[in-house]
Amino acid sequence: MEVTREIIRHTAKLSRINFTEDEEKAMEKHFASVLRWTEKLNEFDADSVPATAHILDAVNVLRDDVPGVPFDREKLLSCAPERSEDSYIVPRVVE
Amino acid sequence: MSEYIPTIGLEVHCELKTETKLFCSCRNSFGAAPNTNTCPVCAGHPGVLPVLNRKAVEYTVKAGCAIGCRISRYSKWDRKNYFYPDLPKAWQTSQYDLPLCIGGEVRITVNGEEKTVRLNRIHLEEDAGKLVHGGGSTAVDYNRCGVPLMECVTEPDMHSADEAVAFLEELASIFRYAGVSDCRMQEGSIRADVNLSLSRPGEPLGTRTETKNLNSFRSVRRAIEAEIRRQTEVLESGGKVVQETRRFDDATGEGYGMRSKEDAQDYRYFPEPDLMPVVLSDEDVERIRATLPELARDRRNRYVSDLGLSDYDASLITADPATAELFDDAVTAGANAKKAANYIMSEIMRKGKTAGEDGIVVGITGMQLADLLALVEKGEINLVSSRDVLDKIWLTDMTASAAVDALGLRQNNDAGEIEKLVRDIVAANPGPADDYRKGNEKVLSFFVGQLMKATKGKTNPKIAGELIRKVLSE
Amino acid sequence: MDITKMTLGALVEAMDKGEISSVEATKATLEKAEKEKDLGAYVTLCGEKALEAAAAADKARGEGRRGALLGVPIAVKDNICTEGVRTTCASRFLENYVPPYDAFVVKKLKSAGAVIVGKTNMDEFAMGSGSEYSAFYPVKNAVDPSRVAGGSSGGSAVAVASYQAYASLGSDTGGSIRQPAAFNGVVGLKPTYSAVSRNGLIAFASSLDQIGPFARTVGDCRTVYDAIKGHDAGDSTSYAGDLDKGEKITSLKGRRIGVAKEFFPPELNGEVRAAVEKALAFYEKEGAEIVETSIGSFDMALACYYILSSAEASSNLSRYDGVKYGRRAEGCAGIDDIYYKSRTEFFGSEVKRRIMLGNFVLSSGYYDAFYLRASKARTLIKRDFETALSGCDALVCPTAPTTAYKRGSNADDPAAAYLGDIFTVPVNIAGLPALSVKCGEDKDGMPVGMQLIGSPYCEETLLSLAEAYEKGGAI
Repeated sequence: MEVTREIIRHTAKLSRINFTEDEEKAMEKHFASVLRWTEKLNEFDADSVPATAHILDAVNVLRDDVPGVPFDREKLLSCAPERSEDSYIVPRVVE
Repeated sequence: MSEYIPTIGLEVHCELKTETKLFCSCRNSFGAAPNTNTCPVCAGHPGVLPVLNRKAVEYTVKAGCAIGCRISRYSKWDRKNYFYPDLPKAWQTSQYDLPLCIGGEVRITVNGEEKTVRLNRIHLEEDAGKLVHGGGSTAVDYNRCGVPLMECVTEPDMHSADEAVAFLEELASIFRYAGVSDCRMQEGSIRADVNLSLSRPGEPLGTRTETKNLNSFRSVRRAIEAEIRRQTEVLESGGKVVQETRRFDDATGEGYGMRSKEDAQDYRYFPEPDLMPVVLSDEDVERIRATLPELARDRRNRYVSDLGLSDYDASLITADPATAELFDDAVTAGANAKKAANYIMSEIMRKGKTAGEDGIVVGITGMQLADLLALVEKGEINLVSSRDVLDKIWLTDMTASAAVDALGLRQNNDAGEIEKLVRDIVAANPGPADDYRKGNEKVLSFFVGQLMKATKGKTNPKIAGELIRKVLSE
Repeated sequence: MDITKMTLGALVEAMDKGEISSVEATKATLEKAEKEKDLGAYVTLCGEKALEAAAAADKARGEGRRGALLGVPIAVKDNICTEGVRTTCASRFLENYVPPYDAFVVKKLKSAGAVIVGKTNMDEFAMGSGSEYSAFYPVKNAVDPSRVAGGSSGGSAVAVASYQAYASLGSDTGGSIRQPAAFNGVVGLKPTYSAVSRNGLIAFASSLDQIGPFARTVGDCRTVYDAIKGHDAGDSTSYAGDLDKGEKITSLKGRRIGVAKEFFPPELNGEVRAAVEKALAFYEKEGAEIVETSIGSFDMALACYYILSSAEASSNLSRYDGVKYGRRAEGCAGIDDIYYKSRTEFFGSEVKRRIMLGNFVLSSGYYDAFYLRASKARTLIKRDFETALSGCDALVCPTAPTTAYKRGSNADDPAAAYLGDIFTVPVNIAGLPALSVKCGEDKDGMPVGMQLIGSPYCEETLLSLAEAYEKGGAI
């Protein structure tokens, strides 16, 4: 497939990253190199093969509904770039 | 030209009333101070991993059983990726193509007509946090992050605000009865998104809009009505309805389109590598199904046909599972169904309402209620003093009889003793006694009042009335 | 005597005898780290905390406690969370991030009495194979500092190779333990997926990531592996069954060593080929049978790996958004501004490439052709390994197609560097255990690594095969 500037720009939006014109060009080239290898993946009949999402075959890994020891809020909030006494702070969010 | 017909589908989110969150052991509780029910897992710290809450899975299966869903024997988890400050991992763990419950239906009655609303699916996912908008900034509270949420998606089977609200009420009732969710609108534990389009009869459905995050039945009704009006105006003026996500402002009663995000639809779902699939056997499902109690609709029907309640009374009693439970228990303990219903609708609902805002707190058992009603029936106490008894036994395991004794309320039923008192009162009030003899029946209540005053209300009113007539007529 | 050059086993023995204290070993290690600073192996040294832990270990030993890691200075890769100690993933984004919790393996190390001397440098978010993509400074090869350390766990490999730690932990998503082990001539083990808890390992690609040990000898590697493996109820993918399905091999007679032809392509570097073939000759001489086998899906592995790992990474790294922890760009007007500016400014170029590729293969219209197809290819690769391994004790192949190359040589074509992972990524895709041990040197004296690949939870089979070679093989 052809990697267009359109694809790069859309993907950049999904990624929440800004690229300069030059960076876009380089990314286009990089995508093209990697996607060339992916042609190898077209050499088998996909319909007859199930997908593997997990390498393990474990199922039903569950935990009992029992509250743990409360975590110290300050330990979490102190990691934040901006905070108030009890919350994380961001610029006003407009919906 | 014929009128437009609205077609409505709902996505209803119900928080499960588990003790802990879906993927970590933080408490699932409403109203805690901001960010106190959080940990590295639900705050999305680097390196954290989720572990699934067994109870949340069981509750969702139970909900599915309650509305006749097909329970998936194999279901899995997927990541729904998007950026928003209330979503610390920047993905919501949800179920994309293999949800826990598929299909199902809910019967509703609108204007006396029964109809069925089909469900497409119920899946389990995690709730997001809460944003509190201040002046120039927004405060983020992750307490709600990771709270287990069922998303119930209906087919577009509703055609009016009445039907949508009736559906929501029925669904909330079912989940409350099943004991899986409190469905409290005020606390946001049930929220709905409305998909709505207009079309003329026989024509294909029009373009739909989605109004998100309505958190009261009233808002759902108003938002639907407003959106029907808006789309009608757009179409009548020759315009086209744009497919968009909208919000409804309760203050203005108006909906508005949300700032469009070009990539909003591309959630890049993929299987969650950190969680293993859920596999349920027939035995697992049957074990969970067996824990399901009789639901409101079935109870209502039984109360009317077997116990002789009116439709209205049956609906009132079954509006809350706690009162229905009390009613059933009281009847089982020997109470007269009608009297028990009346007492619940007057005294219990009055008393229970004050304590809880949304539901009703029921502070006595069916056995206690049956006992109390029997004492009234036998004339041991009267209705007025039964309130004192109710206060005494509320939220305790004291019997009504013991409370009557403890309060010294037991009624005097000794005719000889009462007659003696009546004679004293009649003698002390010759004027009113004369009036009665002259034919003024009204003074009878004066004598009853005097008698009750003298005995602090503990006289059997039936016996008192008969004796007063007898003495005055002598 | 330079006590930093003792093996881990010898150090513990000496400490048990009271000849050396943990404080002495820790001090010597910290001094060595200071002296070798130019190699760039560490991001953070935990001087004070390490000495406290060492003193505590000495005290415990004095009270009669014994333990295979008690008082041993160990380095931990900087993508493994350490409570109260900055954990950066060698990224500007997490430059100031101090985790509020310990990773499961860190808890295990601490309860074993190990002394964590520092956090090792790496490719940013473990994305890379040279440790040149650290946002702070590159890691230099311990044998020849003009060459790359390998990566992404370059710091952990170099710290061990240059005696700045007795052992270390790294993480391996597509070769990030084995390849730097090979490049620096030390032993590196990537355990079976699920054998070591990932709880607290800052995720790159969740279905491929595994934590594993580096050491200077196979025996030391086993000691550390034994200390960190085990079930963790906090990791849903942690294995609850028997982790010791491997065999302690004492004689090579009758053992079967598999050689898949795809791992020895015609274009393979001749010196690498020669070194691995020499090791195979050793096994054969000792009585093992060399069995020819095949991984038919081998040529799909690289594409499969880059699609799956990037897809998972794009999602895993979305949490770095400037809101909850880590850095936030200056002068942001709104929330989107925070997202865009912070991610643009604080992610390095390789990380951006992976996020971009990952978001692309998951995006609407491309999912089936890329992500889904890669997930199906994964099934084929897994099956091929199962078949190949059913007929032998282990597969042997080169760890990397070349020895450590000059730093800066892949700057123009980042995708070319991906080819260096060709022998390691299939193992992660299949979730298998694999170990890299030195099997020779090229003409410049750069070490060549041999990779042994085993069946799930058969780490001991690999360790004892490698140990047999280590003890008997003429390098």
